[in-house]
Amino acid sequence: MYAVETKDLTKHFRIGLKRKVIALDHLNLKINEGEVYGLLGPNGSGKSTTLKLILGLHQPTEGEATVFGRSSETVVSRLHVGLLPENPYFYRYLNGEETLRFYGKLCRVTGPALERKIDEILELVGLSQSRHRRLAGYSKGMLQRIGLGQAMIHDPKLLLLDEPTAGVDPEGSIDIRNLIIKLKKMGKTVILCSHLLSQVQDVCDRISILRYGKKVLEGNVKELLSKKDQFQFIASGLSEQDKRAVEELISRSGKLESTSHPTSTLEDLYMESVGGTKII
Amino acid sequence: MWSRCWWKVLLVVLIFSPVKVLWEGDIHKLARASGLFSAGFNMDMRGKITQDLAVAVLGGFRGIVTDFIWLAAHSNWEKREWFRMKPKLDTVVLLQPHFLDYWDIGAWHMAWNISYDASVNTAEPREAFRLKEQRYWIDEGEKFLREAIANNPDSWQLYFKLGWLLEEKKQDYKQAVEYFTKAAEFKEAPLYVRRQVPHALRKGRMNKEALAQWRKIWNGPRDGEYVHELWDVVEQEMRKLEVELKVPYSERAFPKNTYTNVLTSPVPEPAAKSKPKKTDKK
Amino acid sequence: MSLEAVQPMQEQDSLSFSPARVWVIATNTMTEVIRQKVLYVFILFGLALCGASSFFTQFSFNEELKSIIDTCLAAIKLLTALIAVVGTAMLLPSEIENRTIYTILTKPVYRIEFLLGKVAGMSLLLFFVTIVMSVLFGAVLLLDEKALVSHALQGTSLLQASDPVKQTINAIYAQTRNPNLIKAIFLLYAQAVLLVSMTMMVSTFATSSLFSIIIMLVIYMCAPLATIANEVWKSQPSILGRVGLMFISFCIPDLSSMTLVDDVVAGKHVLMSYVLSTTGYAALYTLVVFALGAFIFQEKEL
Repeated sequence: MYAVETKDLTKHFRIGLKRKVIALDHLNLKINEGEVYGLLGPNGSGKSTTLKLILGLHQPTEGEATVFGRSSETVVSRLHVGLLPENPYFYRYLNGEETLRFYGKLCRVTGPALERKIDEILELVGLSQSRHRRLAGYSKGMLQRIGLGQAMIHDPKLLLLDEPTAGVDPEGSIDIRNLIIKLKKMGKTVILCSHLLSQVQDVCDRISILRYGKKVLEGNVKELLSKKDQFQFIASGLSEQDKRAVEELISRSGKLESTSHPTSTLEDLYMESVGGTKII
Repeated sequence: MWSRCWWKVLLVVLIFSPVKVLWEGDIHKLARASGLFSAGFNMDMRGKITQDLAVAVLGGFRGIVTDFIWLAAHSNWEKREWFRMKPKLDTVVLLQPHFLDYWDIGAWHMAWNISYDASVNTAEPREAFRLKEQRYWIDEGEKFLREAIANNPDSWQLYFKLGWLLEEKKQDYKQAVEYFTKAAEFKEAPLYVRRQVPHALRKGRMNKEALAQWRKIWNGPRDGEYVHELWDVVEQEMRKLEVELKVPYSERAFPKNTYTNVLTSPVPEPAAKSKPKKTDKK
Repeated sequence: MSLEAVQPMQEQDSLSFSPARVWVIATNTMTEVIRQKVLYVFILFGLALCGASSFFTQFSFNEELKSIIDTCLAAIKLLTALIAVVGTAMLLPSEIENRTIYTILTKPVYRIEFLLGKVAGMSLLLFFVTIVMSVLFGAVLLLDEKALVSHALQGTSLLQASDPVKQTINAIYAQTRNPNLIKAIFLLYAQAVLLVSMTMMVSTFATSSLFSIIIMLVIYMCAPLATIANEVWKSQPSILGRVGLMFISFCIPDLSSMTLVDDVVAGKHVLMSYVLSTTGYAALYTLVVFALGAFIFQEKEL
């Protein structure tokens, strides 16, 4: 059984009386349990529509989506699903703890079990310090984290994260990335919609790229990215003489494509100066 | 959205609409039976109030609209603007014809206050015209009360007030007696109402009938609510009339020089007056 | 601490309708509306009360009491109706704007539970508002009654009072201790709940809260014409005409039957059977309108 499966999933939107827009065109996905799956694509390519169809917020024009074998149009299919929506706001007048309690009660988690769960999740998303603060005073990153927290309150097997790092500082972004890796280790299935390709590259097992509602590419990230006929060395303390010798050696059976100094990514540099990650 | 649920919506509307209409009819029938909502909205009203006010009246704020028109009428009264006041009084009773004070106080304004003011109007030097004016306002007051009774045939107060007006302002004792009698026939009318009948008869020099009335009261029941009857007043009036009419001693209830012991008469109520007062008003 | 320590949710194949979930949403809705500072209506109500009790003191006791009752009942009617319409019209759009509706409806929650929670929360809040206003109203009435009675007695005791004075006092009591007032307020509440349900129905397909509010205002303004619509429907000879008028009639609830202010002030007795019948009507109407809202909301694409 797949965690999520879509069969010829198609969605048309009507604009005005006659015009219609094809948001999603016969999409077929098979997402395995325990997999971190990335949905990529430019704005308006159908990522959010796919998520909404999987969650039953929209009804498909054609085809169907199933979650753990249950049609996504049934409420039962949502028993094991958690969603972090894009730019979540939540109820400004509740504090972090109350927010989680509200969602917990909605999922019929009650009593001491709920309180335990709340403590645990606040710890996990790093909001234990701000549990009594109103959400009105939360930063963007904190909102994103409490959003992640509410998505996990009923311990779902599948998590759908829509742009989880949009508008979050690099530090928080890395926290969230690490959290996703942790979720994967716990055996959760995660579907991730994101523009931040480096992040997707880091955490996703498989990705698919959508364009104009159609799947244009799907596959294993490492396989898709690796250039099997090329090879990379990184060396340090190499003398100019030896370097020339190496170049000579390469040119014997191959072709030297380029030589350069490796650069650290801006993210690495930033994290180095800010001082590592806080959580996990 | 609609494509998937329009038939359900249509079905519910089709089933519920007739139920709604029939149920409303039933509610209106019940309302009529218990005398509710008899003050509807008619075109007559539309001519008297502005559109904004009409909307307010229709929206359930009739009471407040009436209160404020009444307030305006009152300020007209203070400024002696009689011909601005009258239409407002008419509007008020049109809007809330079942609030008796409007009829009562409105008629009292016309027949007492305005008519008196007209009779001493220094701007009008000709006495005949002043009297004509006075007469006009008394008649308006009477008309107002008659309309009040037509709208509220079940309230003794209005019959009593009309009788009072006829007695005091028109000296039409015959009619006054008629209305006092009607008022006294109501079970809930207080005792002074029935005493008003012989009082008016005497004023109209119908002494025989007056004595007959007093005798009826005297010989009537004295228990229950009648404990509160002013028996000494009844006795006084009877004595006076028996003397005036020269009733033979043998037929008098109170032969000469005999006095009923006040202590044995049911309940002495010394200080009270027999006539109702126009209290509450300045 | 790790997530593995927590028992995973039990496998379920079905999910039944849960009043507990409705309650969670209802209480949250109440908090939400209260945080919108809706309780400031009590200040407005207080001002109306002060105005009413001071404006007419120069008049007779009957007029004074009438103005207080008129104003209070009108204020209860207006304020509850406003909260019902405006408050309810804001609920769904704000949920959508804050995307909280996505987090709720992607949990194992039925859409009808969500909608019912919203309507119930709003109705509960209105119940609270109505009760508080009624208590204030009652307190002012009793204070005024005390003042008027002692004025009428002018220092004497009730036992020594003369006939006309007693009659005056009884007339005062008839106004201030009128049990029909409670019936009138109860029906005003029934009306407010009906308005909540209708507004919710409209806002399931309305594209903005302003649109819902305008539609509801039009309905509210047209409501006094329900009787006329009823008559016209009956006199319509053709079936087609009747069906057409039926839709118009359907949209216009007979709110005037639930507004007894005039009759209560005039001292009319309101039969219990009348109250029951009108309440039943309002309840059924509320239910039907809610059902329509639920049908539409079920299919709504968010």
